Amino acid sequence: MNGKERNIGGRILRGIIVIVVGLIIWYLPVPVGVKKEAWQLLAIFVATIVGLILTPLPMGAVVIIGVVMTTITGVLQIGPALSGFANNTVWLIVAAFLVARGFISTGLGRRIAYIFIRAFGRKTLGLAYSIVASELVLAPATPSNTARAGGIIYPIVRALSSTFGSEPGETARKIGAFLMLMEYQATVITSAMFMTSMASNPLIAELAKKTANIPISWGMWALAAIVPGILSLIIVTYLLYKIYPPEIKETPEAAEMAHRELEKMGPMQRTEKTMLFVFILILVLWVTGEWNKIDATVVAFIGVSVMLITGVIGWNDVLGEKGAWDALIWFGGLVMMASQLNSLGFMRWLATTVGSSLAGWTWLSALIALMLVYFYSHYGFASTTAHVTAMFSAFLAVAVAVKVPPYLAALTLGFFSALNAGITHYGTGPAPIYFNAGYMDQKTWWKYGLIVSFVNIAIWMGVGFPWWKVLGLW
Amino acid sequence: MNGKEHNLRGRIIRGILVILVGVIIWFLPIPAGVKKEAWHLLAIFVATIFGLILSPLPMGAVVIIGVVMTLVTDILKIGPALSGFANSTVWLIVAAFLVARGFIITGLGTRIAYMFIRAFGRKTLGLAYAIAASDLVLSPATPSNTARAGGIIYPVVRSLCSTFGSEPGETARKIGAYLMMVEFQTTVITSILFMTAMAPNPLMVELAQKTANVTLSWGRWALIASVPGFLAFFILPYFLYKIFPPEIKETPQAPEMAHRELQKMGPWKRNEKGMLIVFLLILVLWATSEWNKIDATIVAFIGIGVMLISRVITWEDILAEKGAWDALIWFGGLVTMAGQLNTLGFIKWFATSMGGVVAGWGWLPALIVLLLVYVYAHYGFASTTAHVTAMFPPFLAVIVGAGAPPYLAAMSLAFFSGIMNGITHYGTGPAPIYFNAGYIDQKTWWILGLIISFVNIAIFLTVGFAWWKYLGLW
Repeated sequence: MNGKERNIGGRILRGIIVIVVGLIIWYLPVPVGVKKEAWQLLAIFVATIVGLILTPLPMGAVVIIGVVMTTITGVLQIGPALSGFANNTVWLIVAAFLVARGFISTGLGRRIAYIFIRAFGRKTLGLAYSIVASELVLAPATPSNTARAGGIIYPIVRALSSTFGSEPGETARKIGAFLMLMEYQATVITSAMFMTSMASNPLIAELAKKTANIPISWGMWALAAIVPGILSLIIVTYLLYKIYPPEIKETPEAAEMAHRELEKMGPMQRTEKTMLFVFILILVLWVTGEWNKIDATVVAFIGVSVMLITGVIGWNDVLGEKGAWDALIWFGGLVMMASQLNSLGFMRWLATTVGSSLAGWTWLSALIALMLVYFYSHYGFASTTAHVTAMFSAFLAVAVAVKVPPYLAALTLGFFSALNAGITHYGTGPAPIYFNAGYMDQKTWWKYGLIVSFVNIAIWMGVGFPWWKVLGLW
Repeated sequence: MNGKEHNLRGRIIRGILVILVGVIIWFLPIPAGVKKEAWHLLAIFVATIFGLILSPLPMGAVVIIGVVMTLVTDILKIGPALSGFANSTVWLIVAAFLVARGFIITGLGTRIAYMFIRAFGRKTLGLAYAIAASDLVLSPATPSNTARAGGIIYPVVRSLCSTFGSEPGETARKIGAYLMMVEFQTTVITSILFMTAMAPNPLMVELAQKTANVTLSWGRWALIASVPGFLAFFILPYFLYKIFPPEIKETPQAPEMAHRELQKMGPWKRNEKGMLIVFLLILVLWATSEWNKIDATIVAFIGIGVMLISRVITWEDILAEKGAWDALIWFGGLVTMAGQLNTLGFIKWFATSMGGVVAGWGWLPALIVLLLVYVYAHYGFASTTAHVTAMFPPFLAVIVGAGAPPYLAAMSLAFFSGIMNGITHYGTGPAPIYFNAGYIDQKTWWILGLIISFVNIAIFLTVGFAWWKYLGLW
């Protein structure tokens, strides 16, 4: 049996497991207090989640099949089944993918990175912070951290490593290994910082609204994350410099290389300038969303419209942006199922039932326990979205049931949904890209991932909790 | 000034025209009986239609900008503005595009064409019918007539022409000109036969429902179209054979060539068989939808689910099917706007006030005159969708206002929206492909197109009306 056949065999097997899980739940006795349709929908939903984890087919395909199942079993009518595709958070992420396309196709993303490197890249630590700064600037409008860290930053980091003669193998520790690790951990942190810096963040916002009835705006998310986030970026980068030091400490060549690259790119093109303008416009409107009252989705589509009118992106680029359509399908389908489960009363039932078994715990100890379980169960997930879909709503519902302040619970779980991706080399899109660069073995990767996770948890709880108290979120 | 700059300037001028139209309507005095928001929405809608006609940007981009304008001007809230994207007819067309992808990827479409040619292609007339039959078979599940006639059939027709030494120029009339014309006019007719045979068809179903409260299922459309449609389909190749005869009448080489091609393709592949099964499944479920009560959209998605599971198509193929995402955007956006115009009471107002225009005519003369105006107005349109969006709702409203039975009015307008595509070489997607093949000059193309439009109109007005009387539409 060759590899491909084995692969198919494995996929069929995993597909069968998915179906069996669904069937078992479907035919289990329905607990008292749960509607029959709610239970049947749960069976399909859980099977879909297991499908996201085992991936017998790609994520979008699994979700489509899940949605089809809800309609052919008669659990949902066609109208409600399609309702997720008119959800404005879903379209926010579609629009953000299209905006991000502009960063890549205009070259603005690369230029920003090289400008930072030229300015601060004379020493290795400065170089590292230049990369962090590029990440941070791009993050708010790049919902695919794979596009950001993998598409824009990775080629630069890779080229920098080669400039210093640091290749996988013997010379890895010269500088390459350090840069790869710190950039990967940086993207994990920036992914937590904005509602639009990772595709599953808006899903978290939707689920928080559906589960605990707490709306989270773009501005609120950013404000809550900014203090612990910036702190994390500064500390984690410095910490890695100390505990995983590069051999090369002075990097005058980096600034020179950035200078050369920028000269090659020439002066800013018209499309780059327009892109920059659109980006700033979107950011300003998002940040001031509390006052200007323009919906974040409308803001993003204003940006897309300006980009289309000015020719920064062509319509063909829009249609060819597969990430956007992928997100539309899986996000729309999952939002629909989660919200139907909620309106059928299932979530309330779950929270009361599990909550009563946690009676006697203080809410703080319950929250910490829930968070740690949530965080480290990511060792078992190859996708942030799968993890969020499977665990976020349930954990949030339970936390709220044991009297954790709702915003505190939702934000902590939300931020941890991104931060937990740092512990493995498969936990989020950019992970395999940086790991497969080959500068580090798995043991090192996991070890430093675990250390960084402790630091992140300490910062987001130690500084984050007081900050959110100041903000009046609890 | 080079061509590109010239082109750009032309686009800017057309864009300014579009904006001007919108601004002028916006600031016109609002007629009594129309709400302010309805009038402002009308301004944006009409500007969008102008955008579709003048296309300063591609269709989808124009529609997105139109929707964004309704949001920025605060005429629509984000919820209603996105409602079109959860419309089941919109997703029917998306799904049908994805199914059609399977015909192309698996090669099943080409195989079907060659099988017909091998069986019936010994004489030129038989060959013409074989080509027409291939188009017919594919049409129910290929909503892009460009994909069907341009993508699948065109390469077959083109290579047949070469087989008989018929090239553009002196040898065009040997057989090439005839075959090109037959297939182009055939796809015009097959586009009428099924709700899913042309992308604007489901749009008309939605518009008919919103404008005249006429509901149509997939099966009902096919039934209503069947008698006049098939008559036109069968008359066409013979009629053209008489008025535009090819020099070659016997074509024994054609079946031989088809035989060779089929041998080259080898035995049926697993994916082709899978595709065939899915296709038959979808067709049967659609055709029996009056009895099985499964929504047509769900049927199409069941088909896609099966195709994904059996790996007839991959998720990557789906994400790359730009036509589907294009249709989602423009169709969803237009459905939103048309639906909101209706909700705001504009359509009713328009119909009442326009009823007076044809008052005293009797509805039958009014219907026929308006149908003819509708068809030949297509000389001014480069897109069926633009034409339908601009003219279908007002014409339907006026005809119904004049007292015509709503079903009769809606269906004849819908079918004439197909018939009109044959009159020019730019009026629908496949037209430029077949025209640019170079076998027929513009004058001949237009004369033949005009004659065939007379024949089609005659068939639909006589046999069609009689059939619809029998069905009880009037």
